[in-house]
Amino acid sequence: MLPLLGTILAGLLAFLAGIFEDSESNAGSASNPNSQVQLAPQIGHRHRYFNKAISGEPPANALWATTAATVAVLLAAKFEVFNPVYSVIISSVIGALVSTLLLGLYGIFSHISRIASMKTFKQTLYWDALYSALPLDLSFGFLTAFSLTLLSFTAGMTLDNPFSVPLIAFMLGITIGTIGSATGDIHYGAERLYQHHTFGSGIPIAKQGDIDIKGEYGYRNSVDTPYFTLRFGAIITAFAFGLLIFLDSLSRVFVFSGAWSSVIVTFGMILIIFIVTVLLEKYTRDRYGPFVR
Amino acid sequence: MSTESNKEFTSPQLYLIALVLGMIAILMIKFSHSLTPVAVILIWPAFLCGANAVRQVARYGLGTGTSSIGYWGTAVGATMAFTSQFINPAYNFVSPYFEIFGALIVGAVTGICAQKIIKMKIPVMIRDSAVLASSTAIIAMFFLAMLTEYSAAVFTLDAYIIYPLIYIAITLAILHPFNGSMGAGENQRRTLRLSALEASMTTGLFGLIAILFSEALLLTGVSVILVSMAGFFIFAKRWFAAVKEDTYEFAWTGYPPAEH
Repeated sequence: MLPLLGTILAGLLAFLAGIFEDSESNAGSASNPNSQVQLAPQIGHRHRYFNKAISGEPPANALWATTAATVAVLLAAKFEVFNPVYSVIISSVIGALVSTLLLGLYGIFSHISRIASMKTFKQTLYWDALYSALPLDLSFGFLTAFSLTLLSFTAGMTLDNPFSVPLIAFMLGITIGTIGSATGDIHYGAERLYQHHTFGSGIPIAKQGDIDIKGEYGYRNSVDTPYFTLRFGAIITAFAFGLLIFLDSLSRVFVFSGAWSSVIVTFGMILIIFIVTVLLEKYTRDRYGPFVR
Repeated sequence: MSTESNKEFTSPQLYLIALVLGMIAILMIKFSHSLTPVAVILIWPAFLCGANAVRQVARYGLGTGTSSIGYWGTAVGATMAFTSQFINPAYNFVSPYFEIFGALIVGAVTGICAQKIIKMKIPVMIRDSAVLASSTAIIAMFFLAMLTEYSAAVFTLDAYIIYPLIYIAITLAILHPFNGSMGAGENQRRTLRLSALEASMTTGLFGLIAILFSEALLLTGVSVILVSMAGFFIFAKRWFAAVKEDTYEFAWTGYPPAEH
């Protein structure tokens, strides 16, 4: 019963973490969209985006998750006289706060230092562009770190994951960053930053940096972006990460062939997903054909 | 610009400073754990050296690959440092020399692989890959020494719990200064000042970890946090002075001038 409950909880936490992670990266225009924000002043588009260039999403999220989980594990060991569930939750909150502090400092340093490097292109450093987006970014960062820490505890305590909680958090941080970068960005870079280009036309090299700098009213900022991406990009990221964690956890519930059971079940799942994906792509191409200008 | 570039520190210069001061810092802790608050100051140059190595390599147009080169190099250094846990206590005298010089050699080998196999065509690749790995090993050895290996007593938890944090925290502190300052106006002075700022921030984080890690490390943790905070405020002031000189214009709010 416990592994099944753990599987459901892990899937739920992973789904939530996916939403928060993608929104956090978009509030700070991290990862691939960051390259576009970075290039914009060079082609004359002076902007008011938050240029949070910490690193790629995988290592950055690995740091937030690992910091939160390490602090939480060390604190939970001190709180072990209390109810274990309460001690884990309180420790995870404190751990996530520490990692949010790091995220805030790294984010502020990046934005200021990157704008300073844009002197040649006459990019002004607008303080309100930083301070209006920062609380939103930190909120999503806190929720991501908190969800991933709880998910790591769930994997360690209910799903018998053999690794330590900080190591699980490290791997989950790398994974969610990779999925957020690969899946979430597609529904940000191509649709949000390039709305003045034909939908579905992709972003040729010649258009790199030619981003939208004006919004529905006034100049666009990094608070508008998660408002848009929460509707699709964040959900897609959550679906991809949530499904990955849920199916992986589900494979551990089966015990028909000893330790190899989960390997066999996972292999079967990958095969089914592969076949469905190929059929879906074939159907889509046959039904809608190639992009026509 | 040309006069500024003439004044730049070279990788070998920074590495020599980082190596000497880093070794002294680790040996100080090995000699007496109560010297940790002083030793923590001597480890900051190793962060600057690593950040400069990332800068040297990434300036050849790596762009988004800056992060990759950062965690590739730091992975080598941190892994070499973690091997120290497998050294037989009877041969403990080889530590930290074995790990730091081992990282230098393995870092150079990965640089050779990048040049000869992947054909990255970056002239400083071998040198700075070695410097990056070795400076990471110095920092990782310092944190291991501070938290576990030579400490008075570690009863609560096994050391391996902090390995992931040691690796990823050093990685971000080393790759971020250049990545966060990237652009046409980037210069070594501002990047290294940012590196010093983030070095003090990272040592402060490990001060907190020390407090939580073991009751025997309470005083060490508190003193490391205090020293790191002092460093943080000094370096923040220095870095922001450089930012003020380099930035085109500051404004509390407003719109960019019309483009058309």
